[in-house]
Amino acid sequence: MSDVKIAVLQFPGLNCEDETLRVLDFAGLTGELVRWNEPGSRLADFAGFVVPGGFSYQDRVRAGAIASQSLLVEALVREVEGGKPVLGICNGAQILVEAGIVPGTEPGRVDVAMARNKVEGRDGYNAQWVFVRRGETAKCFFTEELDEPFPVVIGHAEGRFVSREPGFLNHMGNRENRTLYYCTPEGDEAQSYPWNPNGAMGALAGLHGLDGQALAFMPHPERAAWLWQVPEDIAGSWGERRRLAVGQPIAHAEGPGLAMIKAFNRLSKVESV
Amino acid sequence: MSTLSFLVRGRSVDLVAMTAFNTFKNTLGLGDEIVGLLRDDLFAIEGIDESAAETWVAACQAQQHWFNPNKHRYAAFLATDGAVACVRDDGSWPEPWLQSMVSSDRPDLESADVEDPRRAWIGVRPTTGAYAVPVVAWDREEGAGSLPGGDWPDGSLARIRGVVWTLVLRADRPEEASARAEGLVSTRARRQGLLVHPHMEGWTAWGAPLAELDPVS
Repeated sequence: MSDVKIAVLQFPGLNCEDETLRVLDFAGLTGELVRWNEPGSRLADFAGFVVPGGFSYQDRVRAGAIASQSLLVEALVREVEGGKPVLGICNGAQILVEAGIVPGTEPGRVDVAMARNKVEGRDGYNAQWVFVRRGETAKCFFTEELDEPFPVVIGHAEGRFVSREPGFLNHMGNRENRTLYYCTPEGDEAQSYPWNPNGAMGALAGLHGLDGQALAFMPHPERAAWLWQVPEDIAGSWGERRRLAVGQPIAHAEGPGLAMIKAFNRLSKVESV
Repeated sequence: MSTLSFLVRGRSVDLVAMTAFNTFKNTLGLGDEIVGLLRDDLFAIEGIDESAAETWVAACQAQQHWFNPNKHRYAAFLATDGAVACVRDDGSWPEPWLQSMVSSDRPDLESADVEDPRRAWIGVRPTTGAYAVPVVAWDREEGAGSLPGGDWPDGSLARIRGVVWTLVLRADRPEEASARAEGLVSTRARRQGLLVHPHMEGWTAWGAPLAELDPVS
């Protein structure tokens, strides 16, 4: 077990905190829950942060909107602006976007929204496996060691990145500037459903903020952290690995989502990113 | 031509509005400056003939696409001053066009001594030195033409769907309340604005703030 301590922030209505703690443990990290009503000063004890998925405050007003105004997020901003990494997963991603941490091009400015899913022929909540890959020029603490399209799970109703900020839109026009985007199993940018599961602009699945130490990621890496979580019929190399493992003891075999979590282990070598 | 507008509100406590109110009051530090916050769904049909209003109301009541009488209350208002399209690309919205109430399932609004049914609909407690500032928000992508479908008297008419937020704010003058509301509605930056996300929603003040609140029934 590493001595790198990661705080998992909990707000009322989040529901992925336990599995997030388990995956931190699987990655060799020390995870600890910090509740919304604890003093923000507690965050100083941690090297990094995860804001997990769920439905904070029942998604009232908008997903992530109420939690993003909280004093705990204020404290999180101070820690992250000081260089510590934060990973927002699903509702956690929505909270980081609503708080202006991502993309964070101007301090605190909110440049992106997470709109309701909108794809041809369907809307509302959607849960499925997707493929994701990173843009080559996007510098993000959590994606540096991701080297191939990987399968991961989504489950959301409001996960479509949208923006009216011209500078941001222009930057996102180049696919390689996108931190993480939905793709086909072969790695081509997803053009439509089902590979782009929510209609996000530029097929954005994840967006980094500040100097790369913040990542808002709509899919759930913790639901793809073990190989046994990967469906046997999925395409690509991870599907092949899963099929080869049928009948084998794979309780501790790593899945495609773990690499993103393991990025925190680099904090044992450097004080901050 | 006229515009027919339905305001629809849940019969039980609105937890969304209550949570937003508490966030303004406690987390964002408004304290006693904010007195109330209410939320109504708005469904509007514009360009109808005034004489057809009752037919439309009857169709809406029969189809219950916009409200479920077991869960919601509604009031329908008619503006007859030639109100034009509500939601345009430039965000324009006409002056308040809730001119006359034509139907409601709240008998208290229909009594003869209710001078202003809209104010009665808002129904905040009597407060001195506070003004109700209604704003209307809509989805930028959906805008007009997004109302649930159905067998309408005339399917070609423009239909609009939105949310009316009514902020009740302490202020010395209505203009002051209006300006303050403007800063609270739109989420431009962290801890600045809450109700509307400008990257996916449009909004505008819904006419002048209502006069200093009087006791309502």
